[in-house]
Amino acid sequence: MEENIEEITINPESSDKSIIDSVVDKIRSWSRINSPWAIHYNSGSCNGCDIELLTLVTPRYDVERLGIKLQGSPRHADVLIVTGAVTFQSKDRLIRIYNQMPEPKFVIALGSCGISGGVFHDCYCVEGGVADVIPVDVFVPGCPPRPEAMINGVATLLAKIKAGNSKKESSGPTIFAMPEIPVEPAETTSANEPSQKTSLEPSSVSEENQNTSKGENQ
Amino acid sequence: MTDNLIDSNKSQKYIVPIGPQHPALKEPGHFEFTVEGEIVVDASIRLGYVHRGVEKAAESRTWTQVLYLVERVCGICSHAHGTAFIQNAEALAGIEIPPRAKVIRAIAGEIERLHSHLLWLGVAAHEGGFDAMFMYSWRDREIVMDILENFFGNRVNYSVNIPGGVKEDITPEFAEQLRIKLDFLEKRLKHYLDVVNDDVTFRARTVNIGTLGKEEMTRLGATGPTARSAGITRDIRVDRPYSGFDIYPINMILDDHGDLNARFVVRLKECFESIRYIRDVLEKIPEGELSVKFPRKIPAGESMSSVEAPRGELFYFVRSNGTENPDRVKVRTASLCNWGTIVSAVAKGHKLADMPMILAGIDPCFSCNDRMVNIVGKEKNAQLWTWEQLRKYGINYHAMQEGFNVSDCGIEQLREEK
Amino acid sequence: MTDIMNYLKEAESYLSDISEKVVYPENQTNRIDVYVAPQDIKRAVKALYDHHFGYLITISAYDTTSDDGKPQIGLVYHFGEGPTICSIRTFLPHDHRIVDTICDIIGSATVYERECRELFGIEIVGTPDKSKLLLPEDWPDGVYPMLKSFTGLTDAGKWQKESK
Repeated sequence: MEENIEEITINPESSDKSIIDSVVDKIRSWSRINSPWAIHYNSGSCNGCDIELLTLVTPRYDVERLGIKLQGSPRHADVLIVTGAVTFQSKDRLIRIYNQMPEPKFVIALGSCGISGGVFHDCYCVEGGVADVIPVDVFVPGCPPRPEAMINGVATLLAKIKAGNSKKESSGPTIFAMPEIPVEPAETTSANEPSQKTSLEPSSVSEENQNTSKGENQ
Repeated sequence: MTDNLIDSNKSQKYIVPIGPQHPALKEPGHFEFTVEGEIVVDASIRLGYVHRGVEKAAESRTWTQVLYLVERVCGICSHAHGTAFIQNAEALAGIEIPPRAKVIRAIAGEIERLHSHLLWLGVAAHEGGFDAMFMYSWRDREIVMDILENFFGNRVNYSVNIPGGVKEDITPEFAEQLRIKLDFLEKRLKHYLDVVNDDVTFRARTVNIGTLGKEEMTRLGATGPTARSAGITRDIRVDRPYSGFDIYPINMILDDHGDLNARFVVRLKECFESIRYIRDVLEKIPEGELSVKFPRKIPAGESMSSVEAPRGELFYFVRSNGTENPDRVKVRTASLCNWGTIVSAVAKGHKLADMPMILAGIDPCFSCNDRMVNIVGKEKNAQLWTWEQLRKYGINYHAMQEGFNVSDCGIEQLREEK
Repeated sequence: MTDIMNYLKEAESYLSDISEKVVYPENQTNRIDVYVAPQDIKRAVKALYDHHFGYLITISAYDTTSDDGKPQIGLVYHFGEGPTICSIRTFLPHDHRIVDTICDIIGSATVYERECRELFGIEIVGTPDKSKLLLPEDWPDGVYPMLKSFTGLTDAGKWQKESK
């Protein structure tokens, strides 16, 4: 585990902090990578992703042995796992939960609906994918994704955190209002936003997102 | 914290809103209980968090597209939704699907029922603080998921139906594999039935809780296992037999206690009946085609029919106007009418501590209802609880009654929150 | 088959003095459609309820046009009994979407009535709960998404929603 600490890159901002601070940061970051706590929110999903996510904590897959814990309070969570297309009614709540989470926070959007709205993309009560409301770090495609894919999604996120390219501390206020996000394909959107986004399958995701944009323009 | 909350407010009425974000049900749900002391005197629901507008979206999609859309109304009972919709469409188009396709639909429906009931068993046990049962039943549920995946190619939203028939055939090899897995599952289910019937602590949490008589259940229009647990003979597979069940009938499982324990027993016994049915039908599955041609445009008309989903009667009302798109698709899910039963009649008069189990007892499915509940929280005495807090309060309350202190045992980290 | 016919005849006889038109649909032999006037809905439901005929499956509404081309809302009360489905049906003109509640007869109808109110703008006189069931709190007033005229929230509607 020692060498893990060594590998972690330090946020450039913290370089002028005292040595103690930077050591604390290292330890914090190390522990975060080794045991991410996740909170799950269903923003309008069909339950498919939700039951598959719950499968993760049961004996066949059991992600708790890998240090990943699902728990209930946003205040304790590092990772927000969102399933489903975002409906108008749950949009505010999703933003509230996101804002309640302590920094740094990461978001995983699960399933086709989380990516673009999926089959529900042009329904009247659907805002779109999760990325239309809050910044997303990792997309996991599938309807629903297999549990293995979800574990891979978390692993991808951890690799990103470790590489230090998913830091959001410098992104300022984390209140995201809808009108500020331009209706554009995801690749362009992510470049404009302070946060960085990635996906497991960039090509398919960008396609899906283009569909969403069309749906919204109608 | 939870103890103080109740003790200090014994005399006055106040509202406990719960949810919508909570970890146990894996779905957003918000309930509001008005309590006097610790007795619930009123309960209400606000749905809509998962309302996506599927019924409207169906009007702008073709018949085939709608099939895949309605399967995603609910990921747990997706086959029931697909079957209910497509059998309406087939009735409108005036086509009869081949008997083999009918039987495969029935088998898929029963496999889905196994998976849904095992899922429910785990979740309901979890609400009662019985996490070991949750883990065991979900482990065994993986066997059903394996069957679904081997058979239909996906674990959830498996799309067995296509317009005019089914997608996949049941091969002899698959049937053999299925029998072996069902044998194992039956053994495990016997064990769970023993637990439900004999375990003292489990019975203490379920017997005579949430009881509703036959009369009242009938009046409120409860369906599915919830109704059958009170002795109401209401099972769409028997009453209005649809695909497959008209060829090979299935038996109805009844219980006459009408309490929470009866709901466990009925669901578990239904699992046995499903296993028996699948075994029997695999022996005599008719030979023939899997599908017939389905027209692009369907003549104008109306059709209504139901399917016995794991949670109860799933009703579809479909209108066609002679074009490629349906004119109206109306969905009435089982959770909705059972919700009315439980909340309006059962919850009142029970302790707040019993609420998680009672709610879990109807197997509520929010996405099925396209609905969810939200926080009002403007009332003077309103205090927000999460579902988790309510669950822990429930477990702790009953442990105290029995003279245990659960937090000392380290089973539940009761003081974890705040 | 005779069994099904008996059920259907039974339902027809209970509603004989209220019904305007009785239809036995050809594509589904286990159904009966009884058309009544909008003001008679409550009487019809009470007649079935008093005779213990079936249980209320749901209340459906749909947007349609009458034979002479006027837009109207079709309202269907589905009752299930044994193998049969009996539907009490009526039509409400678009400019007069009012019907009596049946919640005082069948209490669990409240969720279905709330749904019809919200999605079709049908005013249900005397329904106990008029709060929103499905749509978001900030959904613009007077916009009923299940009507055929609704094709998605316009920019104006969205603006109204966000400015609230």
